[in-house]
Amino acid sequence: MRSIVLLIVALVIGAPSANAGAEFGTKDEAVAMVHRVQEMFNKDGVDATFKAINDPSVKEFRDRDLYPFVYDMTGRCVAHGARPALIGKNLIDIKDQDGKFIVREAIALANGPGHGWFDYKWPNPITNKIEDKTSYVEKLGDNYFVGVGVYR
Amino acid sequence: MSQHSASEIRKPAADRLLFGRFQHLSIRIKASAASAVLLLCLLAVGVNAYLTSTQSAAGLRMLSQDLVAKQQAFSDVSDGAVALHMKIFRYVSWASNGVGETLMSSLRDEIDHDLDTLSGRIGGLALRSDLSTEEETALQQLLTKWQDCKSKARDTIEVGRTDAAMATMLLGETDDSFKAVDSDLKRMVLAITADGNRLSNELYTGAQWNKLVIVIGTVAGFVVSVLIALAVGASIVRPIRSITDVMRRLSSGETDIEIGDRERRDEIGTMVEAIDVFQRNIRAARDAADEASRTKSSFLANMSHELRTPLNAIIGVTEMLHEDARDFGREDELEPLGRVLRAARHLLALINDILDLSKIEANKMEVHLERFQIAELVGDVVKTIEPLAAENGNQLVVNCDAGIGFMRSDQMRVRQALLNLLSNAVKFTDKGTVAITAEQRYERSKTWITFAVADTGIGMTADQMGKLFRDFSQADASTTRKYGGTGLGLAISRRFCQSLGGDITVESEPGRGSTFTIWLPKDEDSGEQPESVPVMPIAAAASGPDAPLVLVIDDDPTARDLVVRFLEREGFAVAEADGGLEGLRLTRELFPAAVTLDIMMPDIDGWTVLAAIKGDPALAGIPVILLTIVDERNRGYALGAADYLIKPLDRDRLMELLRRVCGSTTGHVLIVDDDEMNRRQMRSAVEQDGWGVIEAENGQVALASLASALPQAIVLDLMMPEMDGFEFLSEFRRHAEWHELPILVVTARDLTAEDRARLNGGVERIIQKTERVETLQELRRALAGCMRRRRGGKAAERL
Repeated sequence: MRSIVLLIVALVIGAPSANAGAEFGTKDEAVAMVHRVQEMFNKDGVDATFKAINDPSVKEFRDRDLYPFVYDMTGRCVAHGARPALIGKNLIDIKDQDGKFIVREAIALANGPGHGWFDYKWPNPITNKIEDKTSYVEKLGDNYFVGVGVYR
Repeated sequence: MSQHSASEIRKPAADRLLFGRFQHLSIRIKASAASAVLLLCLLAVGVNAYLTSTQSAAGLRMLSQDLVAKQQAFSDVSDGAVALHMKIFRYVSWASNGVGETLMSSLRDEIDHDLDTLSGRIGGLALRSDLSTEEETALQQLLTKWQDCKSKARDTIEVGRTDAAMATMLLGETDDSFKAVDSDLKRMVLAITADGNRLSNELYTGAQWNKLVIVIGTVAGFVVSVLIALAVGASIVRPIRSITDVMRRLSSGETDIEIGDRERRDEIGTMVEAIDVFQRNIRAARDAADEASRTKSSFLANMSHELRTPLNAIIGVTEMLHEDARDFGREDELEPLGRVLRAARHLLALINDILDLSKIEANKMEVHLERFQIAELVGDVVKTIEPLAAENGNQLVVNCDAGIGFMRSDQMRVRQALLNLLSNAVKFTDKGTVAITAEQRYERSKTWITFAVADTGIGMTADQMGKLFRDFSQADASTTRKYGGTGLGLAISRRFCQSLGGDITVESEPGRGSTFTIWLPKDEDSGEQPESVPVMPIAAAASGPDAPLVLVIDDDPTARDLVVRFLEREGFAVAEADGGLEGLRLTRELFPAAVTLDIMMPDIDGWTVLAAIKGDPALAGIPVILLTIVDERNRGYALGAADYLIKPLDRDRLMELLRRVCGSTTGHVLIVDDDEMNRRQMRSAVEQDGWGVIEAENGQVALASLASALPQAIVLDLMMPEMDGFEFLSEFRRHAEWHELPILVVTARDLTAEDRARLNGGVERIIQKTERVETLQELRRALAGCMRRRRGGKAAERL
């Protein structure tokens, strides 16, 4: 209920601006951040893009609870906007508390439709609690996918 | 139908073939086979037991050491993994709860160390040599999973350093991979445990099987060995039994035994073959011995014939010469003729003894059983021995109850034995007493007749008695020279008695005389001999002046002549035949009152003649007396002979027989004597020869008797009351019708020349009374002589 309200609020109020006054990022903002990653990837290349995502000082990829994450198609985390400890780790088998294979589902989306939404549970970088999350992923180049999600 | 029966026949044949093959195996092979089977069974059981126990030992070792150690190793790894898992969990938990870095770092080191250790141990498991292929594959998979698990654990730990929340997220993944590793390990431990269980089950089952195999193998080996042993035993024992039986029968004299198992080709077969050869040899030896024995017997028979024939001639002719010499008073010839006679009789006795002994040795002695009066036999023997006893001045005492009755034995042999004992007794006793005692005794559940001959002679020592019954032995060699004889008599007599179921025993003391006792069963029953052959006396020939005709059949002219002359002298009409065919012809032609028959004749022998006579119904009634050297009395009686006399001729016995079968040949004798005792003695003497007797105590009575019935001869005493012999003679001569009656004067009176002149003419013979027996015998001979001369005359008239 609350998430629906939040969603409506985000849609009405702060959709165009990344730093709009709402506490949590919206789905549109998440999609927009994915597109920014895509733009940079196309423009500056792989390394620059990943470096920018990993760098906490790049505000472009940090907006409240929104951050991008990039995995290659084997499930290895190559860039992460919130949890640097995961970078370089292969998380192909990672499951949430409900037993849902998170990375595998994302890979399936990227390899299948090429983009889409999926739900799972993940720690919130702000509260550091595991919360429900909906992320939007897109295929990045030939070998990666990128995603950004919102907590509900 | 025929096929069915054919198969039925073939089946046992096949069985026999199989069994036959078994029989042909040598005993050694059979025994070896039995042992081999037993050994094989034992070996099999043993090998099985050895293998199984080796297997069990290896299995037990594997179970107790290898498998347990392996299971332990896997369990340890599994435990280590679980412990590590717990530590990782604790680490993430501590990280989430913000435990201080010091503790976290120490735990992290510990986990790092444990991860490496566990890696090493899992790698160690993979290097084990006792892994199965499945285990190796599983371990390879485990290793892969472990690598994954390890990297996830490390990721989790590393993430946990900075990001507790993320570590919690990763923990699930780590949990899963740990669980995968652990479940693999657990599965492997279970598999090892299952291996152990399976192995232990296998061991148990193997042990059970082993037990079963040992029991079955032992029992089967035992049973098969026992069966083979029984079969082998049967195939050996049965033939050995039958061979034993064969040997027993062989030793009891059988030589035509069908010996079984000859077709066997084993040791038994060889043995049987050898025994058969043995049997054939025995048979050949027996045949050879039989042949030799036959040769010997026929030699003996021939020899006895050859020896006795001339000897009989010598004796017979000499007897005649002797009698003639006496009859015609040629005193100077009497003594030398007597000496020839004695020497010839001695020689004959020797030959007879030797022949008897050879017959005994050759078991050719024939026993002829008949029933006879014991008292009669004793009287007979005593009568024979009396002159001999008188020679040595011995007194003969006869103790024989007339009521002793009959016995059944071989009369001739008993007589011979008794005569032998008596003649020995009187020979070795000088002016003593010889007693013969016949008794019936019951001993050893048999009734015996004993004839004891006791003398008061020189007697014998125990040593001499020991040698007594040996062949060719007298008590002292020197006695042979002194007393004569072959020394065979006693031995032969004893053999006779033994062959009749009895024996001769002796008691003696030197100087006090000896007692010899003949023991004989009263009723010796061996075979069923006819008691006596019924004889048909020819009644027609019994009386009247026509003497009965006797046919003498003998090829030997001397022997025939002897018999003929004797018979003629005794008042018979005689016809002669010089061979069997002639004899048969004359028998049919003349129909004689009796026939005397020799056995050994050139054309057809006596047996054939006898059989022919007895086989002809017209002639069968004619009594045939065999008169021969061949001693086969039983055969003679079997063929129907009236009696059987063995040469040399026993004249008295022949006369007795002829009289019995022909009836009286003589007539009546008038005995004129005043002494009643004399009359009785003479009566009994002449009655033996078949005379009827009329007695008269003086001349007067004699004359009265002559008036009523005429006798054939008169025996006259001279010294009588009322009317003496001389007076009677003068009266007698007045009757011309009595002219031909022969008168024999028997007197004790020393006749003067005057007396002789008074007696001259009309008196046939004067007999001087001397010793009683001698006198009586002379009387009998004289009477017979009268009759012979009378008949001779009549025969001449008739011709």
